[in-house]
Amino acid sequence: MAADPLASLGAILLFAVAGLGLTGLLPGLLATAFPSRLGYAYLLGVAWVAGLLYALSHLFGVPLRAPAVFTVALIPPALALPALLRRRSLSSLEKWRDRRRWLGLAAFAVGAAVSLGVLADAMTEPVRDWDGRMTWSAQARYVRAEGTVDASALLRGKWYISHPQYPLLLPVAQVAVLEAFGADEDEQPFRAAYAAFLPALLLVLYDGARRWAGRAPAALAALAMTAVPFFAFGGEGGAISVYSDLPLAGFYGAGLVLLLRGRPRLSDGLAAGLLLGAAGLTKNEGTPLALLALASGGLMLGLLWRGRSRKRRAMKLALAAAGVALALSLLASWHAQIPNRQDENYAEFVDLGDFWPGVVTRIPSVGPVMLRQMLTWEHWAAFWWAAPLLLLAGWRGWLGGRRAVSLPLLLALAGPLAIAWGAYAVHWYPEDLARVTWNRLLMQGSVPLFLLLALCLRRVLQKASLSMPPQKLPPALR
Amino acid sequence: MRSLSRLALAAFALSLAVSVPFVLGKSARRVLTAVRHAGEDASAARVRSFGAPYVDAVEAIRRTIPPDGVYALIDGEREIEGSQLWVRHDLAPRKAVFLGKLHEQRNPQRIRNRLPGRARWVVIAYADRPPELLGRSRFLGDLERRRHGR
Repeated sequence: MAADPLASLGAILLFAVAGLGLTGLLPGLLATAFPSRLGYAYLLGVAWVAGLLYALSHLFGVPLRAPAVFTVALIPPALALPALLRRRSLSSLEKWRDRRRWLGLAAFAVGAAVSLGVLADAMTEPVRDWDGRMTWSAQARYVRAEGTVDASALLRGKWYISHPQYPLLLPVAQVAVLEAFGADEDEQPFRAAYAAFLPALLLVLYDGARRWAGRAPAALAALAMTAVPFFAFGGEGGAISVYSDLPLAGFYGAGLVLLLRGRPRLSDGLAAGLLLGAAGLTKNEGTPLALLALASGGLMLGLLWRGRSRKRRAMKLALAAAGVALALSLLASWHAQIPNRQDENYAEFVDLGDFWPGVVTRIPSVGPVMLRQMLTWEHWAAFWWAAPLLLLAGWRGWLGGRRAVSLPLLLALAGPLAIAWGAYAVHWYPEDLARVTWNRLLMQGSVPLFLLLALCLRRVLQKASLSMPPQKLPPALR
Repeated sequence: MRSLSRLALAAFALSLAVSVPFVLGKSARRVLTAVRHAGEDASAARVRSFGAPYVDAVEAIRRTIPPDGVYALIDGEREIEGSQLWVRHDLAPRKAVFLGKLHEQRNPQRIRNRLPGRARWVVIAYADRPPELLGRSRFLGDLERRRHGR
């Protein structure tokens, strides 16, 4: 096996325990049903451990070694222990079990079975994918060897490094796992940490969809996401690979759901700030996506301006924005010292005027490539054969009381699509770029996409007269 | 409206009915593979994935170039195959200076100028055969001979 099974499970636990500690300190998440809390906890754990190590290494020269990793990972659970002990044990899990329904259980079972296959692959096969070996895993090796994110291989322009300015959150997470478990250079327990982003994403999606669309549409939306082969088994971007797109989808999606959750808890703002900051530290696209998530939160604030709790909503958004600002400042400081090379470096050669007329004239050549990706069975199975019809039949589910959620979600979904369109408009080989990035960009926007789908499902189930009771609660306040 | 909703639901249910077994099948195959290879160490997993010749060659290069060493890397392929990326990954944290494609290497003096003083080795990466390790002087000598048609 490519990794010791115990170390692989330990890799997941390292982040999950840190994240569960954080959720114990954040009342909004502590009140969330346990399975969904687990999803947020995993994402928060990675964001906290890798993000803090990134900052400590760059700003204070703290060596990225086991003592630092364990200290950072154990601070949240140590601080949260009194709160967790005061709370009656797993009461939210019992609540969840009391209310379970067969559809939710089926979605949970299929999600667990698919996640098990992904984990099995992570423990059996070494890293074989393109970006994993070209960028993320290679960077992790240089960072681990010198114990710092400011490794000389990155800092000195003569060394051959691909995309040396790509943010390092995931390589730092890899290093944390390797150091924590004293892994040899060819052992890869960190692959399990990448694999665990899939169940985390599904749990976060279920939480958001259940709040705004109800239990049955949430289960169906989660089942639909599980059934997209690319998310789990896409060799160049899915959970079995060492790409950063699925983690980015998780950070972006979870931050967005927390920002849009109705009850304006400041702790949700803090958690959203941590997650969206992690999005900025995960990939170059993470920065615009994090800012777009904040804009989506701002849009919701505007739509609910007449509501009673606008001041609290504004403070929640401000806390999230502060988290993003801190992360982007760290990124800018780290970037500044690294000479760029082996990189497309769009910012250097692209002017605003370059997008015209490519944004229009390239549609006939790039559009079919994108469509072909979506209709490829190995990538999406039958999803795109059914989804357009569902959107057509159910889009009115976005109107009325749910407008305060659906409009911010539409804005959030537009982000990855706009990034794709912009890149394809100026790239020198747009068809090739679309072939290797379109599925991944769709995945980055998957949480808003599937949440909108859940709202359509709710509407369609109601119209088809299939057991959907009218929901009395204002949806934005769930 | 009701018939459109029912049609959409039917299409959605059908898509789940065919997609879920497909992903479950993929998952099951991976679980079975993991069971079959339980107990295998990381080195054996690499041999299974990349082949013994490749893994042996990488091991030999790792033994020759120390972890804090540097080397010159050359892509032995004419097309973009990524072979130099895989070799660089497997040899990291040894630092590489990339000299480009093998068929473009013509001027030994220019290469000599680009090679850092510490780079005593040259590694040539190929897509369908193991990487090749050459001493700096041997590589430059070969290049010189090729240039003069000897």
